[in-house]
Amino acid sequence: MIRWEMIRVLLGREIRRLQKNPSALMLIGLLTSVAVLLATSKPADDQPGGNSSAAAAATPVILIYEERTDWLTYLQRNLPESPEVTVIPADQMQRSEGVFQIPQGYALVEIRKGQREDVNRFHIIGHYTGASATSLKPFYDWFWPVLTFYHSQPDLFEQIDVPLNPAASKTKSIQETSVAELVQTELIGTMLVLIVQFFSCCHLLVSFTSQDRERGTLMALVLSPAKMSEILVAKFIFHSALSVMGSVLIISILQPAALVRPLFWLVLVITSVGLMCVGTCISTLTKSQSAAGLLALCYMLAGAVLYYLASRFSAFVFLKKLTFESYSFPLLYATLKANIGVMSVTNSLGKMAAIVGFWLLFARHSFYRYGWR
Amino acid sequence: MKPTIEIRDLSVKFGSFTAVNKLTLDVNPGELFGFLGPNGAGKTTTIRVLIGGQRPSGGTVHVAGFRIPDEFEKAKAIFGYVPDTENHVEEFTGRENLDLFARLYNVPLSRVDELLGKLELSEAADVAVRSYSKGMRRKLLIARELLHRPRILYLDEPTANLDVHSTELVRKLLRELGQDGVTVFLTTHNMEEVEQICDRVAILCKGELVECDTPTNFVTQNATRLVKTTFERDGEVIRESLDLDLDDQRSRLAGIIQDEKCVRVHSQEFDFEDVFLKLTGQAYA
Repeated sequence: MIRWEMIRVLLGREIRRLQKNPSALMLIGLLTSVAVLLATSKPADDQPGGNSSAAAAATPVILIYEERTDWLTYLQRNLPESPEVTVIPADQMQRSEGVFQIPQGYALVEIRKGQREDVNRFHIIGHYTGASATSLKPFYDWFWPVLTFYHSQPDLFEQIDVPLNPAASKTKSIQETSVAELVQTELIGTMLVLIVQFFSCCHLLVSFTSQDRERGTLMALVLSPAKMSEILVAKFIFHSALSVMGSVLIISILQPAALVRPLFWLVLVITSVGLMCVGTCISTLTKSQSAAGLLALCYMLAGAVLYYLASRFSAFVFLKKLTFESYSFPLLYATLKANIGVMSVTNSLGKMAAIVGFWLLFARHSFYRYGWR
Repeated sequence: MKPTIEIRDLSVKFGSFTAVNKLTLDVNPGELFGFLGPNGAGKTTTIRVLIGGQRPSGGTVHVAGFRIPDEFEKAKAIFGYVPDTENHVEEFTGRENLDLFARLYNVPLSRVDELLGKLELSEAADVAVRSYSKGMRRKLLIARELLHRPRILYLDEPTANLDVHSTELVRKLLRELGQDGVTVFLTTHNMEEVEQICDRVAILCKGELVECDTPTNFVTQNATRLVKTTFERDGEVIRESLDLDLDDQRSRLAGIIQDEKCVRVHSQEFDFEDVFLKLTGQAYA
């Protein structure tokens, strides 16, 4: 039975400790500054509620494909009300001098299969009219979340935007292009949130807990009336609160609409718990603070390497699916991109929660068994 | 009277190394029990078993009737543990450290001031612990472990790094605790401390119990009736040790006093260190 009075005292200790080590918050401040910079460098028509976005929403899209796939069938079954999307096989499209002929006012998106070593990959080529790819934004707002839910390997897809008539497009130099035009706000938002979560839930927890073990303060706490479970719960509450605060700060700057989506909060909390469990295991199974910190960084790097290997070699896909981050990244990305119901992603959420549940059991066992002994 | 601490056939092994080997020991309520032994004898390992921080490889341990480590959660409320290394929150002040534990133990904060005063730390109470000297850290540790008025107090080298004044302060405190009925279990290398404050002493060597008795019995069993003499003969200084239990050596002493130019005659005092070295040396031999 958890005694909340005890948790309150232990939380007070963690907060005062952070107050005395304000440098631990520097990374969160730095990431928030990046978010502010990105938000302020957005072009006017990309601002939330901007008029151009609404106008662009009306641009109908013709989606052409070379080969029918199961995920394409899924997409076709879930076509949006707006924009109007027409799915046509490529060989049924008219061409003139190698260029697809489409009606006036339409945009074209082509699904092309990769060649040779990229045979498993797909290129999503957006042919836009006018000077920029803004007209394709409403299409992508529908396309990516739906694809992400269905396909377990969204990183096999690559988006390339090209003008429908290259001569008509105004060529911009890289200096003239804003950062926000080069990168997707949602993608950057997802990455920043995951970095904040990793830092506050995994790295900082590892650092504090290992320090407690090395100095013997964890032993002093365990020998006090506080139970092991209360010490662990207090740590989890503190670090998840820190992570949620940092994430909310960033998202409120980059994509405030996501803050009212329940799925966003659900994914945020499950990911935080998962990362804290990983952090607890690392700190309890290493002998020193420096070794634990190094191992936490290795965990992050190993994740990145696994993602890369899984995108190149199918043998690693199974391994990737065993990590909860492989679900949290696309889910978080999708919730930032569009308002999706919890029910439509139950499968992914369930798998993610199951993996986090396993980590939770392992973390609890290792903390109880080796935490202070 | 049921012992407060009951250790039966306790063994602790780390791989092939045996740190404690079939140790059997009882400590009575209100007793000041000294646990002696050379480095690596298994003293700290035994204490770690008593506080539940180390699982025994064999044997049983009961503290105040609670089986350790199975009933560790129940037992921890009644003991305090002063480890050999300080484990304070370095960033906090002395008072903040004690306040934290006072809140966890749910004791009034006035107890913090009382103990800070008792251990002469009031002046440094609001200074960060990282600026404390080793002796001050040690005293703060003792203060922390006395916050909840434990029935049993384990101390690992309590007076290490303390100056003469602070050492005397801590010894006085331990004697007072003993008078108040607190069972004190301490490890130390300081033989003088053992003689001065302990009711009973156990000597451990290579994980095995070598001897367990009162300091008085140690004196009576191990004291020798030796007399050291220094005298001058033909301008040369001669030193002789004589055993008064032997007739010929008693006569020799009488002869020296009567015939020689005697400079010094004194009896050899009981030396706990000699006994300790003798007992542990036997174990090593």
